[in-house]
Amino acid sequence: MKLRLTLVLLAALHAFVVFAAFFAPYDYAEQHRDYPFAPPTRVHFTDAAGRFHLRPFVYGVTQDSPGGDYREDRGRRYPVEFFVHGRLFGAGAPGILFLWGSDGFGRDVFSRVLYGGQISLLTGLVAAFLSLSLGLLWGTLAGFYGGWVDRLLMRGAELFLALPWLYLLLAVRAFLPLHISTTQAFFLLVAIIGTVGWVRPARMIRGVVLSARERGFVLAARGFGASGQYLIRRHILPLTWSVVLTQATVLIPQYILAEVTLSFLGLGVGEPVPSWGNMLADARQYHTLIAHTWMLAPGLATVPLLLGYLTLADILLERSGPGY
Amino acid sequence: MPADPLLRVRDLSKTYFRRRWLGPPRPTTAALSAVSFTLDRARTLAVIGASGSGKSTLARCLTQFETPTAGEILFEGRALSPLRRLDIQLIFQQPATSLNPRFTAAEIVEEPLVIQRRGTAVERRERAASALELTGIARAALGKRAHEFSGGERQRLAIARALVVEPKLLILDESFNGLDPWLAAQVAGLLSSLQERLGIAYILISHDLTLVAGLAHEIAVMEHGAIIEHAPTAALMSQPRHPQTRELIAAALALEGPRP
Repeated sequence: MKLRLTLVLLAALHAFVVFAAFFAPYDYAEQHRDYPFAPPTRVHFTDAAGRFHLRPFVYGVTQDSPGGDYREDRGRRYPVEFFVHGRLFGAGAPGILFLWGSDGFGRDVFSRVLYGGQISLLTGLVAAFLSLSLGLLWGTLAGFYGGWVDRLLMRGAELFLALPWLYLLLAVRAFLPLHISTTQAFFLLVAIIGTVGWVRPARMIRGVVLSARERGFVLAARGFGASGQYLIRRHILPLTWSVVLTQATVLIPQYILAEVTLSFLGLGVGEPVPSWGNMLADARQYHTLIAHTWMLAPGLATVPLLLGYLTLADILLERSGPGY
Repeated sequence: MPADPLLRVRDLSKTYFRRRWLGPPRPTTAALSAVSFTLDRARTLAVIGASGSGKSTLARCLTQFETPTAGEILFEGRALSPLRRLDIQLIFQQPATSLNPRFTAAEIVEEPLVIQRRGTAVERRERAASALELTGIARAALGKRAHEFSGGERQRLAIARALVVEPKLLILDESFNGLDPWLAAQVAGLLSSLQERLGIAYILISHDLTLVAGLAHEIAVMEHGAIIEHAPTAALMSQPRHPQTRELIAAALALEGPRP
């Protein structure tokens, strides 16, 4: 039950992000220069006269002076339209509908959070996959073959742990040209995050393999003349799956956060493509905290996602039944 | 010239070394020293001894999990080789742990055949089923997973897996431990009927004389890596020559308690 709920939550979150083009009312780059830093638009069901409308609507907003406060203009009413232009909803022009407010260019934060999730989630997933593949390969070889293979591989891995990553990242950033394409930036992110984080899973997997190697059924199979390849494939790898799965559920949220950190350092994807990281990097100014708090929405967006993944990790650990 | 016995062990020794950074490895334990005995087909030898007397090392040398330091093991007159390792099968101390809990009974029993790439999938399944039936487990249980079986059934699974490759010698290392007396008796009955039908020889390794005396044709008593007494069961039980043997027998009788 708990598992099903968690999976539904995660599936829903991922669906929102994957189908951002449908759920988001605006394109991520669409600017409304007349509405910089507009607060979240209120959606109404009852109008000024107190009449109830089945179709929700928004009022037009105006600014008293450039840079001043926004005010609802009760005279202009725009109904919320559903399934227009291939999108789930939107306000009838020239009304605007910023569910989570807008940024300095008048871009819809809600839409950008959905689109930005594509980069953030994909980074998390691909980097976790990279880390776990490396960790699985490294840990299995070290744990299974033991001896000098083990020592060589694990000392090498520990060298990775000892690297001063923050400085290395800054050096990488300084080495690269000022502007790199989104695709390049994405692969750079994945490569950096994935290679920073693979040692811990490798060590855990090595531990599992090391103990699995001495299990009775592995010895028995060895006694029947089984090759190393057979033993790893049939007996040992299946024993590592629970570790790999739980590591994945731990690493993915961790890497989503890592993307945020790296974007903050300028290693992420560049404008105008959004990611949760570079959106939060935008929100680091003082005025955000005192006046435009909705700019922190991408930070909030990570919360249900992280909770979902970590709950899943918990459940998977609990479920590791006999012999797993 | 008489035919070779099934197994001839001559002056078998195994010494464990501790490796050092510099200099030659230092010998630490002599697990086996100059062990010699022979075993014929369809016979049962019990190897008795306290913990650390070298019984398990002997089993591991015979099944090629360990390489002896000195001496020779002749199986049907020829030295052991990896090619013929399947002829001598070992049932581990705790059979339950020697079965992969995720495997089904069929997968467990046919695993040796899969590893050796013998026969087709259908033939392997068939041989697994008949090996299971030999040990008294119904065909219907082929799809059950290892952890769903009871302790005694897992013992049978382990024996079935050893039988599927048609071994000539089966070594049971403390395999009766942890079974209740009733189950132990069942497994003992199974072993004797298999010996009758298939002519398999057994080496039963135990620290408890009472568990194996009923099955064994002859008994070897080990102490500190050497065989101190080796005689037919009846002779050894009635006229033990070595003090250690007398102690073992006395201990066994004391545990059994007074009989009405």
